[in-house]
Amino acid sequence: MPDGAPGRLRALAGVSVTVLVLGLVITALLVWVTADNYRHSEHRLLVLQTQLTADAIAAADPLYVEDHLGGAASLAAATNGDVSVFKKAMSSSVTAKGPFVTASLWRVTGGTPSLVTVVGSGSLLAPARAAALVRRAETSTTFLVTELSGPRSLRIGYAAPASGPDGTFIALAEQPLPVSRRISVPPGSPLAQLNLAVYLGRSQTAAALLETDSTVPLPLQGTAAYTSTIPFGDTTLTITTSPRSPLTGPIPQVLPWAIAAGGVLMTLLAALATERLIRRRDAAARLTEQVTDLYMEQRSMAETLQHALLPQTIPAIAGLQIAVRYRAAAERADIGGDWYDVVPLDENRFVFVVGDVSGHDIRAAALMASLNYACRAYALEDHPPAVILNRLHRMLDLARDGHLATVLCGLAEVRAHRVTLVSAGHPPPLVAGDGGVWYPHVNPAAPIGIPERGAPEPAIVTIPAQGLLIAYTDGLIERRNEPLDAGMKRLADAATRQASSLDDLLDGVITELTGDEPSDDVALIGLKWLT
Amino acid sequence: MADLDPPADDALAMGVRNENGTVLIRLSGDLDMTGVKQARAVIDAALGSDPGRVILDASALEYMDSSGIALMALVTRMAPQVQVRNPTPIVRQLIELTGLSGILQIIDEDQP
Repeated sequence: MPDGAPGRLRALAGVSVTVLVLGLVITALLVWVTADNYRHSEHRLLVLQTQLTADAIAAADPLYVEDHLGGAASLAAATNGDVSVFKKAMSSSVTAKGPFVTASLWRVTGGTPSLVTVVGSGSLLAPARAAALVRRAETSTTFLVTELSGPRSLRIGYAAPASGPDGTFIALAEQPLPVSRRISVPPGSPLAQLNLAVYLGRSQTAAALLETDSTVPLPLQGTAAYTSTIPFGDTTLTITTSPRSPLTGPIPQVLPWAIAAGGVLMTLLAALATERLIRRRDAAARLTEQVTDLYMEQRSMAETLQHALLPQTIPAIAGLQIAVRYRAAAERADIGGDWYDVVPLDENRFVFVVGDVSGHDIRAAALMASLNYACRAYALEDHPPAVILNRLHRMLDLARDGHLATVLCGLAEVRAHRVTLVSAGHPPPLVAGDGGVWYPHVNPAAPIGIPERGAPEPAIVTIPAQGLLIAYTDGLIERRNEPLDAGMKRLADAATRQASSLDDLLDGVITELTGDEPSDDVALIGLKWLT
Repeated sequence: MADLDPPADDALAMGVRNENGTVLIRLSGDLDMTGVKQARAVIDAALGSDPGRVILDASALEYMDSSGIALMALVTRMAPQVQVRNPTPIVRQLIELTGLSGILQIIDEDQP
């Protein structure tokens, strides 16, 4: 392992980091959108409920003052300050239960107020202040509201004007406020969800507080608080609310957090998975590289072995030019079983052999070596080719060894231009000369490895002056989806081309028939008679 | 590496039939190095321990190389009589050129 030893931390791959960042950004966006949506919904509901509350208050309190106090003032104006009419009109609203503890009727004549009558008792308004209020109310189009404070209580004072044929009448009334200012809201009411504070005027001060049901300290503030105002006589009521619990329910509130947690978790998982995939891919790529290296190493070892098994030098024969070639199949790690050999017997005679053991493995190469050396030994004992092949037959059994071999063995007599050929399942050599090219008929015996019933039949071939013989293995002529005679025809064509030397001719033949990358091993012997 | 992964349409297909002690093995496609590995197992199973006559129907055998001829030669070592029926020119030439026509008897007959 060149790098990435197990257990060692490595930096995350770029893609994983991208997945991580992208996932977190998407999560953050989703969280923001959800949270924003939640805030908006909450606010909208709060506004809606506050408006409803404000509307309810606006429909109740000012109208009550308008109806009862304003109504009583109007009656007084219409009856020229009839005391009994005023008292009767106020009898339902000046009671022990409220809303008013006391009321009074004033007449304004020429800018001077004068008290007409009083209902109830215990006014906190000093006469001078009452007179001032009355004067102010005379010119007002609506009722006046003022705060009154007494020794034990706070009150709101109202002054409602009414003009009649006999002058302007002002009705005053005082409404007590509970000391705590607290009101209780029934649990079923929509208001139960809200903290509510109602102030007289626009400022939210403790002094101006009219009523509240808030469970949190006043004033209500922050982004969750909402303030609404309604007109109330010559002043306003300020209504402030804030939700006690999420108005939209608990789920929308926790949704952003849930999305955040889920998003972060899924992002981490996705980044982890990506990282794993990338590391696996990298590991696979490294493995492929190693396998390729091993393959190339094995292939080069196989080639080295193959070449070591073949003759290192070809003997020189007088009157003859000899060239040999061996081309290993391209893209193949295993080892072929093709061989060639040239064995000189004397200055005029030599034996040449081309063979091919079936299969491509070390066993095939080993068999090739033993057949090659056996062949050489029999040749050196000066046996004729038919005997050499006959003896080779005993060395190999297809059923036992799993391989067979085709062999072409020839005894060449240089001066006589004569070649005696024997074939064990091997294609015939090509002979060229005298302006012609042909394949001499060599009746093949069965390949080595198949028990032979009789001795191979020798064929005697006469080589023309300056003639050429090419013996080869089937890798040269074999081509996919083509009969062998087509390959033999191509070899014949290639052999007739002009070449400056025998070496060039053999190279040209190999290139023309197999391309630069033969699909099977090719062994070749070329014999060129110089005379 | 091309010969390790032949296209599917080049693949060897085999059919085996047993008729009165004659094992008929029909070969179609390519009998090359890849095909031989596959064919060897089928042939071993088809011939069993005591095969009689074996007929290799080569009428649809589009291609055969030297490893294919070695397999056919091997069949002759496993059964007493082996015939090759209706071989295509490629197969026929290979049998004749390798001197196996003496033991791989070529028969030409009309298809049933």
